[in-house]
Amino acid sequence: MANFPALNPQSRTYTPGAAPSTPLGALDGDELMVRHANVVNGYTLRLGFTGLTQAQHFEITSHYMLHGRFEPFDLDPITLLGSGLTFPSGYSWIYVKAPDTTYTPDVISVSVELELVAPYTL
Amino acid sequence: MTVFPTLVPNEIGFDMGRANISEVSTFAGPVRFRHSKAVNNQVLRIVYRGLSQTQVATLRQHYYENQASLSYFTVPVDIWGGLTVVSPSSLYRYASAPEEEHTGLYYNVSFSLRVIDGINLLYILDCGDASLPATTAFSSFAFVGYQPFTLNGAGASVTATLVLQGGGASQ
Repeated sequence: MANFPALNPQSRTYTPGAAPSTPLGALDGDELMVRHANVVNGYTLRLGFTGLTQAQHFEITSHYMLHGRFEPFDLDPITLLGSGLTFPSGYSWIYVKAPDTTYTPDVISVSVELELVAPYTL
Repeated sequence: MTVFPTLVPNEIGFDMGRANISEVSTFAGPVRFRHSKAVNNQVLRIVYRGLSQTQVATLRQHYYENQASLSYFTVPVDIWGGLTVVSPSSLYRYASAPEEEHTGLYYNVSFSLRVIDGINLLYILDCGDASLPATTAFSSFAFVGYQPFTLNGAGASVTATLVLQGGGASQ
């Protein structure tokens, strides 16, 4: 496992997670929430990189090829610089989907979407 | 097998494909299973603007020759503009029919290609009894250095094989 490349994103969108639960409605209008696990799912992070060099682009490509949605990894502090975000201990990131690149003359832009997953042992 | 015409595009876009993984959702998050070492199915979008009639005819002819998505073909490295995403020997198919825009004088065309043979993260270095050639630079996803990578066996009659697993792949 290698950290996500130490690149400073140009844009960052964060969605916090939630515990898996199901609402049960009662006839009097009350709602009971049943929690199914002691984990929190659904943390997502969308990162946008613009103006990358070819070497920086290859860092992301290589990292994705070796990790993808299978191998969890951690983020370099520079990725979250200035955000003040904290996450549950032991959780790691996986890719939600393949990064998408646009390459117009001299400008390489990449969008990356990551999901935080709880540790598990099979 | 044909080669995609060597016309440098005005813009490309692509995703980076996906590993051969299946997934089961659980309350504790997704559980993933990996089935092979391959990462493929990258989709490459190629955009041309301001082509001449001759150039657009060349591209169109290549699409006809490959009978839409039936045949596979290779793509010159010039199309990738110097980026390393898939192996240069990768094979491609048309993901969909190209779209042509006729402006009266010039032609704008966009293609969508699917990579059917992207990256394989299994590296088998077989030292055997091969004689040592000159070293050359080697760069791939799992490691960077100079090939051949030498593994010394226990004796002259021993054939030594080293298997490297990249990115959690297993043989």
